[in-house]
Amino acid sequence: MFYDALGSLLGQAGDAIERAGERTESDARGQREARQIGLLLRRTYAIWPRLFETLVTETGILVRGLEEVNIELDRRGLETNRVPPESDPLAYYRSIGLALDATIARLGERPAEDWSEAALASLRRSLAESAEVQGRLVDEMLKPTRESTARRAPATSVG
Amino acid sequence: MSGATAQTGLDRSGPEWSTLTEFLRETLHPEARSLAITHAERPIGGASWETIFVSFDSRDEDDQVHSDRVVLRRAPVSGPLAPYEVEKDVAIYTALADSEVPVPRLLAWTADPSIFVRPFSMTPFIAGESHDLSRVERWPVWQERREELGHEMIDVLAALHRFRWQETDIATVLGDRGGARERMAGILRRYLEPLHALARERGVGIPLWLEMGRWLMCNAPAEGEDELVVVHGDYRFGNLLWQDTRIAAVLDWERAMLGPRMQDLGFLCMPLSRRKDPTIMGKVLPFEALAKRYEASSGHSIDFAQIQYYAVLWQFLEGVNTTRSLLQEAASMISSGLLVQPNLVARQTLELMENFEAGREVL
Repeated sequence: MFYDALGSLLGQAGDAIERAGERTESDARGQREARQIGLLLRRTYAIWPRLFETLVTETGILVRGLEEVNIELDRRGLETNRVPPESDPLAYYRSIGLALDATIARLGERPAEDWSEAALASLRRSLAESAEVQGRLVDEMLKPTRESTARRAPATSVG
Repeated sequence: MSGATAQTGLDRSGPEWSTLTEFLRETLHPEARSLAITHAERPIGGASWETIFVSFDSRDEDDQVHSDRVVLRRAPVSGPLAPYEVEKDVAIYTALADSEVPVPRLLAWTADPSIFVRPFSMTPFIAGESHDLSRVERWPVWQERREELGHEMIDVLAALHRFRWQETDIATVLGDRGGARERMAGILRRYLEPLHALARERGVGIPLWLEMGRWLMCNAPAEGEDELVVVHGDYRFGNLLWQDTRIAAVLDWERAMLGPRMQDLGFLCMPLSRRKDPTIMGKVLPFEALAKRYEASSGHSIDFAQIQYYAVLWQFLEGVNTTRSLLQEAASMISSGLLVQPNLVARQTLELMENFEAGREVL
């Protein structure tokens, strides 16, 4: 969700800048939006070096959590939600999210039994671990970002 | 509302401004010879309903000009709290008009979109200050007399919880009655199901929110229908209009519902609103002081476990609503905070759930 939302917000920010360019006057609302867009871009820059690695780490945690529950479902002869690996990391992350949705819904619909409660608790631990990993990006975004991006740019560039 | 940032006027060239002018004349000054809107502006803030300050001049039979200003609350095109029902505001403002709870006086309303594009209600402009949570610390009154503000907030909340809703028809707009599980099912239908449908449409998962929704159903406290009060559901600084240390009006009732007293206290104790200072609840009082004041003002005891449970509920709703905003393609205004909020809420809420399950009295 976070990764898709980042792209979507950047797209909306582009639309907002375009709209602002068409306006003849600047009002307080427009100025606030411009500040927010600047902040969004600086925050995106702040997490950029770790963004893709974090996506892969999070996916790994969720895949393991889902598989643990699938093994339990297999043992009981119940339908599983396995997702074949995909080469596109974002698409794979989305597929895992949807499979987790389906698994939670299915387990939640069953009468409460020890094993299903334990499976849900185990899934929640995986979700918590994944939220912690994503949280490192979020915490990075929330650090003061006033430092000039120019000063933080690498000394050499490639390409 | 002087706390709002000044705006340049809205463009009033559209045909809806003519029909609005006629509506103002018919409903507020039917005796006037003429009425003309002189200025309209939107204050900054508020993520749901559109608030518009409308100034107008009316000319009476003696050719005297009277200037006035009203506040319009119009349903937005879309938003995380949809559906937006103007009838709910109308019922609440009407029922609470003569109560101990200060609410704006309802002047007029219409659900007819031909008047001003979307349904709206209209109340008088009330002078006062409104500060949202991110800015309240800069308010001198908050810096110098925070405890007084806290006591006023708790006293007004206790007055709301004393309100005899059973003697009015307000229940028709406040959602499900019944036990906690039935009401929780209603809340999940209202907030989680639309998010789930939207997420499926966009091809993304929302497993954390689904799991939290399930947890809330499983852990709903036992409470009877006779313990239900009117819960504001969004009782925060930004939704209160202050005149010095007195609350002149409680605003934004779209999340109001029937629930137990601890539900609003759970809202005040949400970790999300105390990131800067975790010891101060609702940006006003430490927990012990809040509990003591509420018990004295309401005559009802605090139930810590219920406050924890309802703090989880409100955090969950914040997470669900911001996630829904992120999935909706057209935001009314870009906010970089929207991106980080679901994760912050999720981490805090998971910790609260753990404390609740372990019986730890930690908020």
